[in-house]
Amino acid sequence: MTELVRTDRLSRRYVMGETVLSALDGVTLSFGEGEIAAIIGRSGSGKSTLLQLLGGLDRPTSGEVYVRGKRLAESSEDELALYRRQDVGFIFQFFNLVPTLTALQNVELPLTLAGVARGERRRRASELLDRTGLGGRRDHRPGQLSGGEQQRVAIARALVHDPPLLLADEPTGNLDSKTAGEILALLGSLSAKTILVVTHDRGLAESFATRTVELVDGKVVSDHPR
Amino acid sequence: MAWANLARRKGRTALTAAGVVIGVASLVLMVSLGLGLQRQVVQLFETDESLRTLTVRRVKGESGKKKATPFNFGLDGQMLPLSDKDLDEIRAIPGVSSVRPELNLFLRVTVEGKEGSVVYPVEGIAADEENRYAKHLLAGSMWTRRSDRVCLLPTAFLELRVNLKPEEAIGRKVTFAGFLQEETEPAEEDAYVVVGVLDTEAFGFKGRQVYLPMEQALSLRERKAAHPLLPSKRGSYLSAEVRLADTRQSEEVAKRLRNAGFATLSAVELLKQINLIFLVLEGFMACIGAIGLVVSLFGIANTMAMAVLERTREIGIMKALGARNGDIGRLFLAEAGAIGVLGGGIGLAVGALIGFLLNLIAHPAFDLPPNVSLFHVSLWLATGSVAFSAFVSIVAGWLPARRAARMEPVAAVRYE
Repeated sequence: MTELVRTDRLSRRYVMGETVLSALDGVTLSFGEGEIAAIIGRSGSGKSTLLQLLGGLDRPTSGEVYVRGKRLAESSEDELALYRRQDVGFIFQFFNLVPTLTALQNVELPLTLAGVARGERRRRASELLDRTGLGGRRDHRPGQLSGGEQQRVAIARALVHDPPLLLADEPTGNLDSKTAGEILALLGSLSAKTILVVTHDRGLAESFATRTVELVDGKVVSDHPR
Repeated sequence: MAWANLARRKGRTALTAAGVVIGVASLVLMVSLGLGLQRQVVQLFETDESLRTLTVRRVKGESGKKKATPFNFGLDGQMLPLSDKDLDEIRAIPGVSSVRPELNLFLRVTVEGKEGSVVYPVEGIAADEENRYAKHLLAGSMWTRRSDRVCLLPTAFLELRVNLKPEEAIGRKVTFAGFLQEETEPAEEDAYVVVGVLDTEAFGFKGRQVYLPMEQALSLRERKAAHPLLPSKRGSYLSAEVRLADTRQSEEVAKRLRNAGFATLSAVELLKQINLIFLVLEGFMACIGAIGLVVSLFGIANTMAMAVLERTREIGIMKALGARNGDIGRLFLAEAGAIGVLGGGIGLAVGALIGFLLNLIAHPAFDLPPNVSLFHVSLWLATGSVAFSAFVSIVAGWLPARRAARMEPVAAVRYE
C-alpha cells in the first residue's frame, strides 16, 4: 500500500496559564492510500488533536506530518489552506454546516472557495447530494434537516472536491444508533480513499475499520489491523 | 455571499446603514446646494457671447499690467476714461475683432401700461454689430433706421421685472429717466418704442441690459447720466467691450491689452475665480456633511466586530474547507463595503429627493425662473458620495476583517 500520510514523533502541547497540557505526545503513525482506520480513545486522549494536525488545521509543537513525503510544517498559511482545500475532506461531530446556506450551497462551498465556475459547482454538488440520498432536499437549510441528513450533507461537502484524505471526527457521535449505522455504511461505500475516523466507540470502530489505533493520554497504546 | 450575510441580519444592517444614509444624505444636500449656486452663477458667464468678450478699462501707470480680479478691476490704479483714440488702439491689437464702448448707464425704466419703474442698465449697439444681435431676437425685429427712437428689451427684464411675454412687449413705449430723477411726466424725447426682444440666455450677463442704437444711447447718456465722476460726454467712456476673433485667444489678447496699459476682465478669468471660490465653499460644506458619515464609521466598525465574534464558528468552517486568511478578510471587507454602498445609495437618493423638494418650495418662495435649481446633484457628486461612503465603510471594517482573517481554525471548530 502506498503511503499517503505519516507522522513522526508528533507532539502538541497547549499552554494554559501555569500548566502545560500535553494533548499529543510523540505519535508516529503511517496511513496508506485507500486505508480505512479508526482512531479510538477516551475524551481527552488526543485523538481529535491528531486529526486536526493531519488535516492542517493546527500546527504541531514538535514532530512532523508528512503528506506524500512532503513536510507539512514547511507550508505557509496559504499553502495549508490549499492543502485543506484540495487534499482533505473534514466531517465533524456537530456537522458544522453554514446555517444560512442551503444544503446545495453548503456542498458547493469548497468548490466556491476554489473558484470553480457556478455551473460546474452545481453539477458536482447535486451529484454528491444524490449519492448521499439527499437529492430531494438540496434547497433546505440545515435547520430544516434532521441530524442524519445534516451529516449526509457534511459528507457530501467533504467529498465534493474529491480529496484523497477524509478525516471524520466522531461523525456519529450526535446521531442515534440506526442513523449512525447508515452514516458508517455510507462512509464504508466510498472506495479508494484514505478514511480516518475518530471515535470513542470501540464496537463501532471495529465494525467498519480495517485498522484500529488506540490513544491514551496522547500516546499510541495499540495499533491493530483487523 | 456578502449580500446574503447582510440579508440574514436585516435589522442590524438596516440600523448600521441608516447612519451611513444620514451621513451621505447630509453630504449630498450640502454639496448639491453649493453646486446649484455655482451652476447659476457659471451659467451667467458661460455663454458663447460672454466667453467671446473682454471688458477693458484704461488705468494709469503700471497697475494695468497686473491681472485683474473682480475685486480690483481698475480700482487699485487710478482709473482713466477711455477715449475714441484708445478704442482705435485696441481695435488694432491682433485677435480683436471689434470694440464697442460701454456706457455703464443705469436708468429708471418705465414700460407703458405697467405700474412703477425699474432701474436697469442701458447700452448702445454699434452699426456693425446689429446683425449679431438680430440673430438672437425672440420677438419683433432689429431697428431699420438708427435715427428712430427705438430699443430692444431682454427677456430677463420682461420675465422678472414687468411680467410680459415677448410678443406683448413689441410696440410698447418705454421711458427712460435719470436714476436719481424724480418721477415726473416724461418728456417726449425720452420715450422709445420696443421693436425687438433679445434672448437673455444667448448673452449671459450682457443679456441683462436694454439696448438702443449707439447714437441714441450716447445722447441719452449725455442727458441723463447722474454721477458727476463718471464720463458722460461723447468720446469718453468708462469701459469698452472687446470682441475676440476666437474664443480660445482670450488669455493671449488679454495679455496684449495689459501690455498696452489697459486693465482687462474676461468671463474666462472671472469663471476661474468663481469656480475657485465655489470649490472652497463646497469643500467646506462637504466637510460638514461628512461629519455624519464619519460618525457612522464607528457604527460599521461595531457591527462588523460583532459579526466576526458571532461567526467565529462559520469562519472556522470556511477555513477548514480551505479558505485562505485573505478570503475571509475580503469577505468581511466586502460586507462592510456593501453596507457603505447600500447606505450610500439610499443616502444619495434621500439627499437628492430632499434637494428636489426644497427646489419645489424655493421656486415660488424666491420667485426663481423655471430653469434655476438651488440644489444640483451632479454625476460627480452622485458617484463620488457613494464611492466615498463605500471607502469609509471599508476602512471601518478593516480591523474586524483582519481579526476574522487571523482567527485560528481549530479554536473556531473545536467546541459546540
